[in-house]
Amino acid sequence: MMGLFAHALKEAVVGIRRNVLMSVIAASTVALCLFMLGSTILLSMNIQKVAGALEDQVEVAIYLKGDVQESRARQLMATLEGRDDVRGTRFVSRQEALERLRRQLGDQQGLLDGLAQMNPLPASIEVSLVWPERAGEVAAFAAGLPGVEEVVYARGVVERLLAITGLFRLGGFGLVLALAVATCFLVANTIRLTVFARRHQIAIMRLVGATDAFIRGPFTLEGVFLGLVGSTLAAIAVQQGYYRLVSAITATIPFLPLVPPGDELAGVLRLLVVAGTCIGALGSVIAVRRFLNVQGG
Amino acid sequence: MSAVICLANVWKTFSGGVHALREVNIQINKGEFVFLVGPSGAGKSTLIKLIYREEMPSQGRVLVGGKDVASLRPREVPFLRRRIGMVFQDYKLLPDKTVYENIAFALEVTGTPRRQIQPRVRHVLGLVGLGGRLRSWPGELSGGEQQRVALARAMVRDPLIILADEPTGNLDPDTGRGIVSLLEDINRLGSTVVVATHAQELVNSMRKRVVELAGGRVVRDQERGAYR
Ligand SMILES: Nc1ncnc2c1ncn2[C@@H]1O[C@H](COP(=O)(O)OP(=O)(O)O)[C@@H](O)[C@H]1O
Ligand SMILES: [Mg+2]
Repeated sequence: MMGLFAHALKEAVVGIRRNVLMSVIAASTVALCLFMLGSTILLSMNIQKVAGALEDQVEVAIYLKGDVQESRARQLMATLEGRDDVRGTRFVSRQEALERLRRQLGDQQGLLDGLAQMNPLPASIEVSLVWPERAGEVAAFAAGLPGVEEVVYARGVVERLLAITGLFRLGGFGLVLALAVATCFLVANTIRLTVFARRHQIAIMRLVGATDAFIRGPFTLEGVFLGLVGSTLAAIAVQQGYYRLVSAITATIPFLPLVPPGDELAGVLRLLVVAGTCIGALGSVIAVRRFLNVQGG
Repeated sequence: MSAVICLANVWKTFSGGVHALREVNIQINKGEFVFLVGPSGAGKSTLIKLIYREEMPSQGRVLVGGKDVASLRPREVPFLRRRIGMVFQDYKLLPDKTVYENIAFALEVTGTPRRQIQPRVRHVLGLVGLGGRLRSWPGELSGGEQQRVALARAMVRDPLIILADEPTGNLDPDTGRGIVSLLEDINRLGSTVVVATHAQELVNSMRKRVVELAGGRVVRDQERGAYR
């Protein structure tokens, strides 16, 4: 068994050395395809993240009648939190509402000076949601509670936002899937060329009584090696490129919630290397199969 | 005498309706040396391919060492081929392996331990008179020398059978005679030898058993025969 592996390794090294050009082409194809795949995965992850952040901002605001005390408001909050589509609630007192407004106005907060004694803003409960698409239902439920003056949420906007984020999610997923399939196909085809160049060698191996496993061995190892080299190059390029891109974007649009170049990026890079290696091995097996069992019986 | 190769009522019809072999009955015993003769297209190569199971009979049975080769599963075929040494008109050497590697290859395939490979390769290269060309590349050798390397590869496993399809087809008569006399040496060492050829002089000079094919049929099977 060890002899078989040693032989495959020796033949794989010889195969790569004697087909340098084809090997470089195959490894480059893996690198290019996986670079595109990795970029697409990261793009898709960022789309998910931005979409998720947008969805998280969907809230229902419940404005309370002027005579409602904070203790009563706390009871309403408990009722709301009993629902499974409500993630959390937050009480905003009249005082806090005024301070917020002041902060939002910034250097124009002088406008509020006249209101110093008389605060016109109502107290409210802010409800964050588990599922943003349930905003309408939660709002309707809240409107029926005692002590509630008005319920506000971004009606229409929520629905449109969800439609758009859903579309982006599907598009990102579809793009990744299409690229993964294309990568497998392209790499298998390139490796097929390197195998085709050695079809005579395969034919002779079959003539002298080599088993299919024995014939496949060196080609599989070659595929693994080319896949590993190609995908490592791709992973380095993706890592460097993404790091720079994120720095550049964060410098111009600081509030955009991007996937940071940390653990999640590392996960994508690992995935690329594993995928590249598997694609290399699989591509070889598929490519060699055509030259085995020619008579098919 | 035990039959090493036995074809019983064998037909081979290719898609397109070409009858390459018709109702062929041949029995070849252990240690025999047989010439398979006949004009181009007579079915010689097809008959040889049936024996090493590159092709399957359309009808009838092909027995090698008493075993019906049509009943072999695909993964058993390599083990049939390890008992058969093959020689072709175009040598079928790997151009990117040295003479030594080309022969060692046939042993590596069967998982022969490294220690045993070197002495055996040297031994057979000595037998075919190429003991000094171990490290040459096939491209550096003459046609006759390349065919001798192929012979060495075919015999390195002490096969039950040697099948040679037009082994002298690309060689001048003198060189061809050298190859056939090497085949005779291998035959003396115990392998059964079947040589498909249309080299008349060679066949006539050897006076071996001759099986003649014409249009896919056996039209003559003669001990100590000539080409005619
Ligand atoms: N793979 C094939 N498909 C179709 N016809 C074939 C095939 N191989 C051989 N033949 C036909 O079978 C006949 C015998 O061929 P072959 O055995 O090669 O003859 P020989 O070796 O005696 O010249 C010829 O008519 C040839 O055209
Ligand atoms: Mg022929």
